[in-house]
Amino acid sequence: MLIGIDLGTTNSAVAIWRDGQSELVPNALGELLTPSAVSIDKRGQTYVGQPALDRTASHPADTATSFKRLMGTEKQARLGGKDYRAEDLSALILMALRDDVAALTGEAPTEAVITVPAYFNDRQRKATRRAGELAGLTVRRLINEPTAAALAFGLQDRGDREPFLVFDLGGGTFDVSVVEMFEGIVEVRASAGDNRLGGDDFNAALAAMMQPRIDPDGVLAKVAADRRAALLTRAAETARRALSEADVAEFVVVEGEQRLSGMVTADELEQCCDLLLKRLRDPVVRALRDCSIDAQNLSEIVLVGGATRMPVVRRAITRMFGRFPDSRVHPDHAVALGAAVQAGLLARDAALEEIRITDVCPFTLGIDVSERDRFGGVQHGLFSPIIERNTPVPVSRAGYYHTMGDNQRNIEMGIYQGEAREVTGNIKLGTLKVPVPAKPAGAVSIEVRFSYDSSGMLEVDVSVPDTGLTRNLVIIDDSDKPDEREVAKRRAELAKLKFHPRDDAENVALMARAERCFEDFIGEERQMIGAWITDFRGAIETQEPRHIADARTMLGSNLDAIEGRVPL
Amino acid sequence: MNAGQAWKILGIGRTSDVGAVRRAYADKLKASNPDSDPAAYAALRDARDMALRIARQLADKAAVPDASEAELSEESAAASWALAAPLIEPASAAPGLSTSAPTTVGTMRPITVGFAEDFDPEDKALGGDPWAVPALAAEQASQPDQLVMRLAPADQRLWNLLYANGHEDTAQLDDTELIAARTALRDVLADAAGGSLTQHEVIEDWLANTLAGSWPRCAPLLEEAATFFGWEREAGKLGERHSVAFLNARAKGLRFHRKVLDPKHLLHKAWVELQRDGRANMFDRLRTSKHDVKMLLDGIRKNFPEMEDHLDPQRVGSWEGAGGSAGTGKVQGPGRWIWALGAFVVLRLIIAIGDMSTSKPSPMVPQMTTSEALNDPTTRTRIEGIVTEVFGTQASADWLQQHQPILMQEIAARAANDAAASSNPKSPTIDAALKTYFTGVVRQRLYENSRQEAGDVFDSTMRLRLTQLREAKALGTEKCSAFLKSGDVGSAVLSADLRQRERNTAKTFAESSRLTTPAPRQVSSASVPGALVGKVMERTGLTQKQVADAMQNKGSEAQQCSVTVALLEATLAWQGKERTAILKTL
Repeated sequence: MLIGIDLGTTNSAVAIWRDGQSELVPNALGELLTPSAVSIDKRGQTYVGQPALDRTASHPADTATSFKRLMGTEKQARLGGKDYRAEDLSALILMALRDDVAALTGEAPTEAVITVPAYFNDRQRKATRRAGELAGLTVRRLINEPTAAALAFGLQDRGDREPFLVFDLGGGTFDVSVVEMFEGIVEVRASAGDNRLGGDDFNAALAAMMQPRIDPDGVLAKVAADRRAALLTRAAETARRALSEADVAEFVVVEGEQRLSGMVTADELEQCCDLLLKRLRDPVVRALRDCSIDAQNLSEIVLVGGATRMPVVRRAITRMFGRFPDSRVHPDHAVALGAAVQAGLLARDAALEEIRITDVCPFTLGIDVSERDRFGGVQHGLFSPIIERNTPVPVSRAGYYHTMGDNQRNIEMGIYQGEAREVTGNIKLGTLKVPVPAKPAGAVSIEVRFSYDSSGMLEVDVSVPDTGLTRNLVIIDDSDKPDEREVAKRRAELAKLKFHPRDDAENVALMARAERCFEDFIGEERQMIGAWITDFRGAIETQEPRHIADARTMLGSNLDAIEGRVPL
Repeated sequence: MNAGQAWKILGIGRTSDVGAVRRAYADKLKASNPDSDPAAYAALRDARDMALRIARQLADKAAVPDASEAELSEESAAASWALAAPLIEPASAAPGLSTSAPTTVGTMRPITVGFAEDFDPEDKALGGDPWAVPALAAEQASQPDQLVMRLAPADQRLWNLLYANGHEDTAQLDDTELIAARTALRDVLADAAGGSLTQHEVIEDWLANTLAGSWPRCAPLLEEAATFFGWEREAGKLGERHSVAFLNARAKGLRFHRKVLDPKHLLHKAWVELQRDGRANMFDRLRTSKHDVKMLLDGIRKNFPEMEDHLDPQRVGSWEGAGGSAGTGKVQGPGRWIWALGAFVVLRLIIAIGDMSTSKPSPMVPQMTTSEALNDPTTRTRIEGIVTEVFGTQASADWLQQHQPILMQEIAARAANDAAASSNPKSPTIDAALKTYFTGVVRQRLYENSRQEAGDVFDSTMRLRLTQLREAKALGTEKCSAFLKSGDVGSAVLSADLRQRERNTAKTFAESSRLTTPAPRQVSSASVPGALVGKVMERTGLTQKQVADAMQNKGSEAQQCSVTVALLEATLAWQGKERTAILKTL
């Protein structure tokens, strides 16, 4: 079975294409969104989703969130005393989502369409693909998140649409795509983005502003760094959400027996996020310029991603476009639903026979070259684009280059992705070296052909007409093939982790929540919660299903009551 | 791909129906598999894009006779505006424009008007968006006119301050002017911050062009504007806009200047030394490291050439005389050595755009719209005269209004204002002056804008330029120099043949909307290979040194003129790698 997965920075979701429509699959707790959080304790006991999120402050050394931001980097997160790469942690999320589908349909999925931010670079895409493989899923296609959202939006009525803009501000990444729909063709005209901008940055800005205000005595300075960060981030997240509904919110951090708090207004939030709000503009302008569409001629602005719920962001968008954005798609569900549509397309579902989707390659791809400058010197490391950004994919383009030195024996080139004129500002994807016949400078030329397919795989072919020699480099395989053994090893490593049985999921989640509440409150309330936890533990130990269910209902409603009373 | 192939690939006949093209494209796409044949997919896309373009043109042509004249002119102005908005249009208020005031207003107005029309508060507000903040949009929607009124004066104030003495003004802003300019800049930035994306874009581009054009006068304002728009984020990127690239380089220079004034800076001593007047004596040489001086000079020449103005030329010369290799080197080197290397001569040319003595912006210009001017019979006759003189007898004011409304507005404004300012409004000398002036303006724009084009268009304009230069040269050195600088040959008359060629080219350019105000030029440079230098020497009979000097705008005007003509001639007949780069400096 083929499933569609939105692997987000903050939340992930899974959907399937069934009976002619896409459908979100609830997790073990009955929720459609699974927080992208993983917690692993020293014994290898693993928590995924909501219980892991509840453990961020209580077990900071065991818990990781927002690891999507580390995708494609060498950075590792340390959980329960062991190092994990972002793709390992993502694989755990993917496994949980896979199991959710298996629980609903009774059939274990083997293939997936996974969404990635449009502006994810080649390394980040590869890491996502590897995460899928670690989770035992064959990744049939990586599809860009705004494209998926556009599919979900466009398929609501299947009517023709003049170019519209998908504004996708998630927890960690920001994407903009201009999309047009006609005659069943969903055509992405241009995409641009910033893969370091999202809700997390707003949290960080808010936390940085509030920390000195709520903590003039430096109580938090004595707390371990990872715990401090977790406490502040959660306080910021809570306050930011509250500010989506009210003009004033409380920013609270509870540390030990101390409750540090301060009020923050919507205006203050807007001020401290001013720089971030300004950064929303660049990708929008770039995408519109690249497809030469004027902002006024856009038929709609479609908002996707949790951070677009923030009123400050909505105000910025309204100002930018001089009109209100469209809210007809669910900002948290659209991407997963669109991924399931793509899954249906790949499975050649009859209901989608008349639908086709075409996408673009959102960044420039090229090689490094040297050039003689006007003073007769030689400049090295210049970027020579072969596929310009926002070219429709699949695409195959060639560039022609010649030798610079007399009797030069080899041409060596680096393959790069990015928009900087000098390759040092771009991302290196690989290198190729070809031998050439010894001749005077400039007498030997080579053809470098780049082929980029719908999934974002780049293939490079170099041929030397003089000798008939050709060299081929499939960028995606370059770093994947040697990894085969490595993948198997890590898969075995992950298999050692212990998971709670699915039936226990609710109890585990409720316990994690109760423990979080225990830390969030002080004084009498804390003691009360402590007593509830003891009761609940006792009930679980009886192993009496009815007993446990009653205790669970009781604890759940108690926690709802206490959390509802105090704004946090 | 030609049009025939496009229709064939799509499998339909020539049509003006955009929907039919899309349907054909969709059918073909659904029947194919792009992943297995990317080339066919690319061809299909190209065919679709070409067919859509043709279909729209056909549809436009068919629609013309139906629309009444007034509507048409307004619509086409709005249409070209909407298409060009983020890229070209803002430049219409850029340096080099003869009448700044009306154009500024003309540029700004359509945004707000367009915005008000597009925006339907009821429709969207009823959508029940719980996140929407109606106050903001309601305010904008209800007061479009006030927005325009508020916006225009700040732009104009800033412009008037920066270009107070025309385009070649290098004087610094004095204290009062600086305060006024800062206030005006802040107002402009506030307009950008509060406006829609399009408005923000227009203001950003306008400001970048305005600042780039008024450098170094605008230096104290640069930092604030650059921070606001985040220009430095664009630095070093592939699509960096010319004016922004120019300003980014200058901003870097400003920062370097500030740092080098700090006594702790590594090169501070060298900087102070080179600022002193007169030649360096023995004592100076002991006090400052020769290595530092060379590093400083090499550094600023490579990165911020404009900083050399801060240094004393004589002092720099005396150090270079002693240091030898610190000099500008290659061009001054021994002749034989250059030839051996294949002779790279660096060619530099700065062209003052539209800097004609008659074109100083007049802040007092009363604003008159094109249609008002055209409704006045005397002015209309005058305008028609100018248009026929510039574009040939087949052209008319309405034709120009349709294709290049902004140029038409400039002509209308000048025609109306010059008459109003004169004691004898009907005097034929006004007509003659205006005809010469706009012939010059259009000639210059042909030349400037064709360099944005590639291939044949650029080539044929350069050939035209060669003929123009030859004739100007025949009229005397003075005319030739004037022509090189501004495209103006005064009252001297070029041959009827050439004028006809110019008119035809101008007409083609106008019809493809290529006569917009050119973006500010930067210094162009190119290496001229030895083969071409040899040909130029052959044709002009000058020595290599004279040729090299003339290529760098040194030496007598007569020499510069003949070298330019000879080099243009030789380069056009030559096919080499640097061909376009060299042509662009000529």
